[in-house]
Amino acid sequence: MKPVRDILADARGKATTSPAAALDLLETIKTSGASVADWWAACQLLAGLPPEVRAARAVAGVKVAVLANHTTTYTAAALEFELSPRLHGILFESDFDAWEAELQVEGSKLARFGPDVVVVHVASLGMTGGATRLEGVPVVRVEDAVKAFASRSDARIVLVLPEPLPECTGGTSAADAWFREAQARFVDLAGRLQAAGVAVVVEDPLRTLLRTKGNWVASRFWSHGKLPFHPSACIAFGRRLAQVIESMVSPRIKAVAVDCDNTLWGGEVGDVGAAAVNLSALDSGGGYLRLQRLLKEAVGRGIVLIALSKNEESSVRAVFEERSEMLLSLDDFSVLKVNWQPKAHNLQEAVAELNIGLDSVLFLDDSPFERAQMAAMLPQVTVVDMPRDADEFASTVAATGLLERSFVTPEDLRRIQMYREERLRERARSGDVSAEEFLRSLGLRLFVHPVGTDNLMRVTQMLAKTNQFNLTTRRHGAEAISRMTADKSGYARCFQLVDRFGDAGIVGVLLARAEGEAAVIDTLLMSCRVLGRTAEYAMLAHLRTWAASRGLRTIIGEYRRTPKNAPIAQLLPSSGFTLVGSTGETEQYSFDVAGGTLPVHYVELVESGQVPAGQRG
Amino acid sequence: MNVTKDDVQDIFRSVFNDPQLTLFPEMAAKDVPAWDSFNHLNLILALEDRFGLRFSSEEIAAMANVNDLFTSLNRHGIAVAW
Repeated sequence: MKPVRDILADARGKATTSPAAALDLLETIKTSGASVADWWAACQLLAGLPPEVRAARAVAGVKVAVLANHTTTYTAAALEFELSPRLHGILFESDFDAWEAELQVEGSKLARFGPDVVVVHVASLGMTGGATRLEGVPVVRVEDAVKAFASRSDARIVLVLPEPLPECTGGTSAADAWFREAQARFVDLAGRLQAAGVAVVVEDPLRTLLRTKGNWVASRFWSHGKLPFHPSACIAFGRRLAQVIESMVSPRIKAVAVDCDNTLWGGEVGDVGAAAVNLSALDSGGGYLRLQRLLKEAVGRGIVLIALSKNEESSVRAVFEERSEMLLSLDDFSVLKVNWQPKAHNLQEAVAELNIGLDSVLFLDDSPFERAQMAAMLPQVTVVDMPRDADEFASTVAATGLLERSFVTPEDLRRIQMYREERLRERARSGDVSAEEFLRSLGLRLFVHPVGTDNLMRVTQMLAKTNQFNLTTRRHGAEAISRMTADKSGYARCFQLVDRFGDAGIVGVLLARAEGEAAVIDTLLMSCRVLGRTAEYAMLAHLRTWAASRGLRTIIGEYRRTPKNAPIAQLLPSSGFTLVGSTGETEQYSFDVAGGTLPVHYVELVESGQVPAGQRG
Repeated sequence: MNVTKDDVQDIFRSVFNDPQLTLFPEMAAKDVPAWDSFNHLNLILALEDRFGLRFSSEEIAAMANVNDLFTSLNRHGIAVAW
């Protein structure tokens, strides 16, 4: 690997001539073990790249405010760096010690910034005047300020717990007593905020600090720079915050593809038989069981499992069925690909069945050969560099932060069930029926809900995550969406698809506004897993009915091309819209409300008042 | 360890992001636009990283100009030739 200094020099050279290449170069810094000075230079280079280049590469933008009682320069810079390139972070840092005023005051700089996520970090050193005064813990001030802000904003809050004071030994000193009380009071505070309906998660910096090389204690850096930790620890913590924020606003991983032999159990089942594979918790089998426990927890949060194993399927099934120590069951897996094909080939089939992208897959395999082959053949897949020792499997996977979910929506939890139902639909489809007959036989019903507090979280999540069947790819945050729903002359609906096999939950969003005699579509998107059921035409039909009832004559829509949204390119032209112009990557279309003809759909539209209880998305 | 002025100058150029920066003995924060208290820490960190030493809190506070810095380096066994 090239020295960090050379990478930085290359990136600096390309920053103006080829910023996209500079972005790629900077990405390699993340695994380079760069020094603080190099990190800082890298962060500054990134921050200096044109925002439009970074936005074009990102799947979403996210506005993050960091409020603290100390200097956040390193932390915020590393946070922004680590979010890139997948998320385009836009950062706000409070002026020194202004965290309370920013939260409390209506119309503060923070309020005008309109954050998606607010990190509140009241560090122990700041609370104690650099550990010189072990007096109270200002938890009431934090509580009042956060509640005041939450009453005016939908931003999610990351509440950082206090760090141990430099003199803490873990024993009975006054510093230890103060620290333990501060931790407990902040944890209690998080509970009270949650109870009050504030979307808050707690982040304990200690795990990150313990992993930081060298001494994380701020010492002279508090005296000279009001840093809460050593600069290298500030950078490590900023990077960890990026993991937390990504998991909150736009989780990257939807599925884990996992090998079986020597990954989920010790030994090769084909050689030794199901009875002899190592699953002994008292012995070296504990590492495999811990990984299973971690994956089981992920399933509980809506992450899908795919088994990829080179084996006879019967041998793999036998381990699941015959070994009572197994924590994962076959039911936890949405797809089983057990055969002698290359794993990349099997994974491609699996993602096609699940209707997810390769970039949302995490691959776990003990074999360096399989990992290298996967990385070479399907570079979009995230391959975890597994350690040799199974005892370190689970902690290595956990450290990626990619399986964390801070906010789980009902749809996340139902996804597993939905994929199971999808298998059933596949079977129905393979019967000898025509496409129309099949669609008719599904008994499709589309429940139409006004966008509101019941579903705002899901709708915001869909705007943030939907890439493929998304007409305009506008990533409005919750606050912007709320403003649109408050506009009584506008149209803001989400759509829940139900058929005889089950409830797919909220799968579509359509936002429009009235402008003169036209309804202008702001956002039209649908989850790809329900493509091919004509629900998108039913959504347009609903908008048309609304437009007609308002006396609007046309519907204006635009297709804004992105690298990912080709699947929706033909929606408007195939729905009777006429191309009226195009500029760059945008095509404008118009539809005559009275005279236009929408395609046939096989979906019954049901207004939300008629939704049976228990079926609300 | 013996080093040259240019070795230290390279660190200054990188920290203050100024490829033209040229050191002189009396050079202080007022002479370099980017030399604020935060970049002062970055400078300290870069010097420590490059020369494998650790300045005390008091040394950090006492470094008013380049001459002071060279004197500090000398105390840590780094002789800088102008």
